[in-house]
Amino acid sequence: MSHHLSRREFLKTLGVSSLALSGLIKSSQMTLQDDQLTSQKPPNILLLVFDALSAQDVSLYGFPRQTTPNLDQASRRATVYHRHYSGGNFTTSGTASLLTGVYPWTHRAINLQGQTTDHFTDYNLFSLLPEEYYCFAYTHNTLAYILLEQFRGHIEELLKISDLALYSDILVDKLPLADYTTALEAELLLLKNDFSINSSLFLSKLDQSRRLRKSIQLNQVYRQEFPRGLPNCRTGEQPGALCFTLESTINWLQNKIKQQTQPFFGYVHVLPPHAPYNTRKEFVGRFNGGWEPPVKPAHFFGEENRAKTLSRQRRQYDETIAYVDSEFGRLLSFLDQNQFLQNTCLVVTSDHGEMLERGISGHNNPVLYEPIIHTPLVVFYPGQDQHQDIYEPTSAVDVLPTLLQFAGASLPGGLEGQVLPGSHQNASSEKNNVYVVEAKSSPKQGPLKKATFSLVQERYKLIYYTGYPGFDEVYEMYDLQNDPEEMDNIYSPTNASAKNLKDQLDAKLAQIR
Amino acid sequence: LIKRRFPTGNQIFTVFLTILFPITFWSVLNFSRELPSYLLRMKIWEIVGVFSYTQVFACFESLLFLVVLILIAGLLPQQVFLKYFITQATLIGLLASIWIIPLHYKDQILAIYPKFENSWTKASWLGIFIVLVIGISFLFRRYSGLEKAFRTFIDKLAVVSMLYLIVDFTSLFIILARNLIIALS
Repeated sequence: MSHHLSRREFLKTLGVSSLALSGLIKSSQMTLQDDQLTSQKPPNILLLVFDALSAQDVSLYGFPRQTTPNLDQASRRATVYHRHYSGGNFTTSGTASLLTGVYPWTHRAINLQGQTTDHFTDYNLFSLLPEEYYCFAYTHNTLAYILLEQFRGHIEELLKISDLALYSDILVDKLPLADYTTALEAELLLLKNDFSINSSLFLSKLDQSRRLRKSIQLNQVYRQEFPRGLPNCRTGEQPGALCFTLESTINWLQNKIKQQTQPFFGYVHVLPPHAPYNTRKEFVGRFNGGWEPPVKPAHFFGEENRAKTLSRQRRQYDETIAYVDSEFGRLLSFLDQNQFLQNTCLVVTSDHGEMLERGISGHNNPVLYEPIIHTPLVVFYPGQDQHQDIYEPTSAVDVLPTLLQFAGASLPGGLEGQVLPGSHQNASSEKNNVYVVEAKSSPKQGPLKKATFSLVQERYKLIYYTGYPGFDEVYEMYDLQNDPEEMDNIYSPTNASAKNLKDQLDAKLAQIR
Repeated sequence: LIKRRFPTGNQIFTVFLTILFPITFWSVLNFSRELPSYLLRMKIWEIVGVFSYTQVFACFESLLFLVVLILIAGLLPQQVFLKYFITQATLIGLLASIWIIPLHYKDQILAIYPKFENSWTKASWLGIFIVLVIGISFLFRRYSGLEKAFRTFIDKLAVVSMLYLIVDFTSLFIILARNLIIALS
């Protein structure tokens, strides 16, 4: 039997429905927010990124060398994510995932010195936080700075790299240019091309010798404290005079926090323990003669007979982690003394790890083994006084939704991460598939034809290489529970677990392509 | 005194153009090496921006080099340098451009010749450069036909460099436009 609504009945129904709908929305919003948060100011957020810090070399995660005693101790009142992964295997892709909440295949900051697609200029952690947040940011890393420049419109205070350096060799910092990123790109090509030949025929050589001279001069001054040389922002082979000390950065941060109006969001991305591994005097030689890493066979992308060199480099890297940890300890004492942790969510993580094994050094390579993608994530939730361990796989893309929820912001659509478990917010109960993407040689726009993908699910990890000459369509699979050093590749097309993971990865790649 | 000690405007402009050639050529060459990586991650307007900065910088670098040559002309006896300013300055500019290239391939050379960074090697490298400049200058004085041929070469080079100069001016305009657009937006 059909029943036709009169105009009056229709309007009445519409009114009741909209009232019910608005009530429903309100109530759902209430359940999303913590009662405590609605009654108080939202917490401050401090996102502390230590560049190239691999969880594999952090004693908090069971590394035999005592690299992070301060972090170990502080974690008694923090949430420790034991299986946390970066979004990519180098600064650009890893940082972009952290700041956008999506994987590199979506944000597309996949190339060295790259930026995300335009969409993310106004869709990132800085822009998505409520308006009341005062955002400030600093990084020593040029690649991270290029990304921050893209988000500049939403950052109230973005310091230049040179602002906290002992001496800056960046020319464009001294010029009144609005077109900063492109000019910086040109300067790197002209004078400071780490990966190829400088475009300036004569002045690049003068600039290089000036930087070298200044670097020698500064290193002489600080030789007692830093016998291997000062930490510096040049990440390539060329001599760098953009030197700094981590101490001065931490000092600046302490002052900043003290004077800052609340609530604030601070993004501080420091370069150590990234190469060069110039640690402070008291850490030099700290791990000599102790534990030595297992020797692993050289990878297709590695070089043979480098085990000894890599072992030495790894010792130096670990000594640099110890330096970073001591400065972190100093920062934490300051935060404690001033009771900042009561209303601050402190996140300690990294943009990617570091590889010093299998004949490979650094992270400018196509591999996705644990040392390069397993990063630390330790979160001091506001007022937390108990230790909490999370063993589920988590990703850098999960940080943004978690922080947004803490800030009382609604989660936008299109996120690929989910609220971190253990955050006491609306954490997802779904099984988390964690992906890592490396695609430096693929175009920003277009299919990722030359790339490496990793999928971590529960105890298993699948790695898929595609498009590399001589190493195309290669799969590796590891049982991380029984084989955390990834020594035994158990991939076989007939293995049910392998097939299941491969099917899931294929489906995901088909979706993103 | 200034008129007597320093080259004329025409001479300076010709030498500037001949210096501009190797410096800009090197700049364009290395830009084209990086172009594939730019195409991977940048938009065309951004690539044009980077190119423009490099071209304006090349022009600035050429001007600095020119200033050095003018100062040399002012300091050395007129009969030695100023009288033959165009040929002498161009010779130094071109030869120096060739001579500095190995320094850009330092790592590759060091791999096959580890003594490349020795002071002795550097001194020898500089010594050969000076001997060549003096030697070729002597040949120019001795054989006027040779100098004439070199002048003809300089004139042709200057014409080609005029194209570079147009590119440099366009680049300067692009830089100004980019900065203005970004500042206004």
